[in-house]
Amino acid sequence: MANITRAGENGVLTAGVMAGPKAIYARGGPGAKMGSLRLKGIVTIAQTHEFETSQPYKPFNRVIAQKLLGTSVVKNALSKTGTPFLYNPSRLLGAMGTKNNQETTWTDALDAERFDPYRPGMEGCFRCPVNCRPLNDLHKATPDKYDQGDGPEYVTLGKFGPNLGIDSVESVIRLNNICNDLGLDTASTGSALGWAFELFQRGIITTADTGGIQLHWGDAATVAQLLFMTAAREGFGNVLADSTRAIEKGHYPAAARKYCIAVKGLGQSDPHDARILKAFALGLAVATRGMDHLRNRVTLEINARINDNAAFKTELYGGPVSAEPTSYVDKERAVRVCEDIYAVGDSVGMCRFTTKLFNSPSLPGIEEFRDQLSNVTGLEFTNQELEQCGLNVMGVERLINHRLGVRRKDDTLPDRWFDEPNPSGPYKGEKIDRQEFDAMLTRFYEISRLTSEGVPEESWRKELVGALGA
Amino acid sequence: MITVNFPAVLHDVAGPSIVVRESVSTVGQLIAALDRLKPGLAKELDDPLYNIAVNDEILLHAVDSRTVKDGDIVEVIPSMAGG
Repeated sequence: MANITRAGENGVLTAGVMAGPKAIYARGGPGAKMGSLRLKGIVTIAQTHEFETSQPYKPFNRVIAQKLLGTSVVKNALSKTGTPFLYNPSRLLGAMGTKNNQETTWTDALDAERFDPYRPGMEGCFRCPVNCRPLNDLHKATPDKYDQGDGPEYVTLGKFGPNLGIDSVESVIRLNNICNDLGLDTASTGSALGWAFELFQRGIITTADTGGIQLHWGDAATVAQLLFMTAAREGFGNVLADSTRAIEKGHYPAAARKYCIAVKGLGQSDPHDARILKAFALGLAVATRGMDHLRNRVTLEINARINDNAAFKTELYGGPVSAEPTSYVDKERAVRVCEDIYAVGDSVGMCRFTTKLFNSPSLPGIEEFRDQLSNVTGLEFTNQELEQCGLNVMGVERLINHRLGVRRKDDTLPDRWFDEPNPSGPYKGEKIDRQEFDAMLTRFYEISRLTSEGVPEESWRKELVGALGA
Repeated sequence: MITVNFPAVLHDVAGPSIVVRESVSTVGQLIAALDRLKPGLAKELDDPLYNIAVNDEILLHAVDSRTVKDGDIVEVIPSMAGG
């Protein structure tokens, strides 16, 4: 069953579609979309059955499973603790979005191992052998329904920890469980809250706007209260429910725009502050659905072993990419390659966490997708043809975006990352240079067969029409 | 003397920490010294999962040539996991 919650029924723009306690189709307000259609849920009552394939495919499924289970990141991190591992390197790097990205590092009290006492076990998605989803239990004598649950992932930890100035593991877990129950996208909801808290800090909004509620960093009880109000569109929750659209809805003054951490109207998904890592920054700017890392994040940019092996890095991305994380040189190539592989992975139903380049260079990628497609369908693809399929996905999405008015100016980043230097960590002072970014964006368009406005060039548009059979 | 701390996933092969008393001046030399103390450890560390931080400064490139000195605290950090 896939269903929306009361938040979706109320048209909350950060509401998702739930398919389990935590499993959520989250980004871009799909819960609100279903709610607007007055569609509460979809239930499939059926049995799985074998289907005819060109060649047996199960033996190669086992090969793929063995490959991903043998990968260090799966074996030693994802299967044991889950994604919160990333919190520690992010805060040490000074790349941890804190207090709506006013700061970039936070306490070690939220490091992954601090969650160990509250993690009774790991679970997995349907038939996935990885089991990377941490369960949680706050060990209350008389637990309510928010004292036990599923999660949090790194994104939720970041958005409901440092992003809101919260330093308690117990608070993060409880807020995670509330969001799951309410069917809220923790990324966009956390972004909306962080924005509101900064506006309150700066006096751009006051208790006259919030219905008397004080918005102070670290106040987890108020955050919990606001989550329930958001799902119900009650009081100031009605403002938060409009998320990044709060200015055009008349809730906030135009001066608030400067502090909104969003691209194309979508709050940032991952909690990374990307002033340091230029490949991350470009990916967030050009992602078609808004400020989202799952489209193209070049995660391996934070890995020194790969950065220091120029030949291997060149092989991974089909050409040289600078070893320095702060460099703009050739980073567009890495984003292009990641976007293509991830789009193909999405198309064949491979989880992002176990797709090559997102977490490891050793995970299944184009070659495995190609072979299994051949086994199942009998269709033969070359690697280049599959990569072109990935590019086509992005091209079609950009055509849709263009029709909706999205242009080059929208492939950008929050002003803060251009204007304010990173305040902490080994890369203190780092920010995004507007000219360098613009040149990198131009190079990205050129290798992606996009016009200067970011839409597929004429010859490719004709190919896309042919590919779509239109 | 340089103290190297390891994450839980490496405790079986390295324990929670190793103190290197041998004179070394770079991270590359430090890893070689660790391998002499615990044969095979360098191979374990040659894994994209791990990054190295020196005195809480996480290193993203040019790791082997990064200087270290007596009294430094070095940490092996699992970095790739999602999400």
